[in-house]
Amino acid sequence: MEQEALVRAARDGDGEALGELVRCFHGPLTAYLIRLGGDRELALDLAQETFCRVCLHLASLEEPEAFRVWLYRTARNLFLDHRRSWYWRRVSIRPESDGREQPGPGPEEAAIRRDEGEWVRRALETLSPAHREVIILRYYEDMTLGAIAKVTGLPLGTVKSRLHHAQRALAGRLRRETPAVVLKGRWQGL
Amino acid sequence: MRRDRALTRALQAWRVAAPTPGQTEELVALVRNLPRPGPFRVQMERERGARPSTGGSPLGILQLTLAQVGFFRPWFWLASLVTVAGGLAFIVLTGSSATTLLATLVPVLTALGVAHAFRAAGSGAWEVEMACPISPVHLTLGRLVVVVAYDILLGATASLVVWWGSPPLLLSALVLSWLTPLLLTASFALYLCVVLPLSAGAAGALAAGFWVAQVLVRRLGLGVSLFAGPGDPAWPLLQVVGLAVAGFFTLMSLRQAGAGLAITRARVGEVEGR
Repeated sequence: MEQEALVRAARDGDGEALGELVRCFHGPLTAYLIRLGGDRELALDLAQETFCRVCLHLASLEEPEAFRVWLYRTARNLFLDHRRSWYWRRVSIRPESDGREQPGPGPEEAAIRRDEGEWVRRALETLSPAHREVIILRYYEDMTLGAIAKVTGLPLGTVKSRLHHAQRALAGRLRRETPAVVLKGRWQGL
Repeated sequence: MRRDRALTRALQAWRVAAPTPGQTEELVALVRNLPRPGPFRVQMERERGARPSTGGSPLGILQLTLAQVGFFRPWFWLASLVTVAGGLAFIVLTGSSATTLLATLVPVLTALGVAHAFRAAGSGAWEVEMACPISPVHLTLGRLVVVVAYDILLGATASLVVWWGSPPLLLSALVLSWLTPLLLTASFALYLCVVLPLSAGAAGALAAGFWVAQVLVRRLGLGVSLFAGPGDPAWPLLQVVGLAVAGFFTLMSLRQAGAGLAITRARVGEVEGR
């Protein structure tokens, strides 16, 4: 069943469709929250809270095609509430690579990729939360600029300029701090 | 474009641990057992979503403020009117200083009015406010505007009456003598309510107490006080300082207001902690 049809069915009380929706979005949403906050346990808790809230209010969703944006926006609001409540001024992203996801063809390749991931994580950590957020939504969640604007509640122009500055800052950071051997490989062009 | 592709390749290197299938199935079971909202709630939420936001537009703010007028009981309007009228009669009959009496009376009246306006945040009505589409802090701000506007109207009327009888006194000086303290007291009471989890009565009493202390400091000659008549050489400077402090309290309160009223937050935490 397509996503919109799933949302419609879940909205009308179909438990199976609701379960499918959760299976479909639980992984990506948790990954988004981990990247945003750097804490896997917190991300799992926030993802659970997000799904509970969304499911409770699902019947009032008028546009099923807006489900994904709604889900991410709810998760983001919960994350921001949590950050405020803990006076969490500076986000520290802890290493979360697990090796379970597509480890690559061999141990050498896996080791290189782990190192590359570490450089990326460190570079993202140095970005401001606002820049990091648009990068995560654009590159990891593959959202359009319009969808990012809806999730973050920012005007489209602001999203464009913020993404531009974030890209420049991130590329600059990666160029400066990543070993040449990595830069000359698959990252050429930064 | 080239940088964009390179960034895409680079960013894919950072992978994070996905939830285990067991964790996902636990969540599926949890959400499937959540209670389904009834048709009334669904209808209510749809209507709430369709309702235009009042925040930001001047017309919306005006409508919100006017809607708060009904919150005040008739005795509130009457008591304020009688108090100011009594003060006015006292000035006329005894020949007391109009600036002194109005500057003492009007700010205290405002502080008590603010305490009355904010009482829902500490009473049984707060649950109703929490269920409203408009946040409690906006409702409270609307009420504050009603109280301040009503007290300004009363003060201005009293000033006109006094000024009519004693033209040598500058009307602007007479008005400023009570307007600055009024704004200062109202903004201080708002600040206390937004920042500290005090009951509305306590915040109003503190704000009124602050002003009474200013009056006493002046009367007893204990030091510099914001309570000074137009005859005092420091009066213009004190007016500027008073207005600046009032502006500071208002700005700080509005900045904090996004997080809600402190007393409401405290009550929500209390209920959630049960």
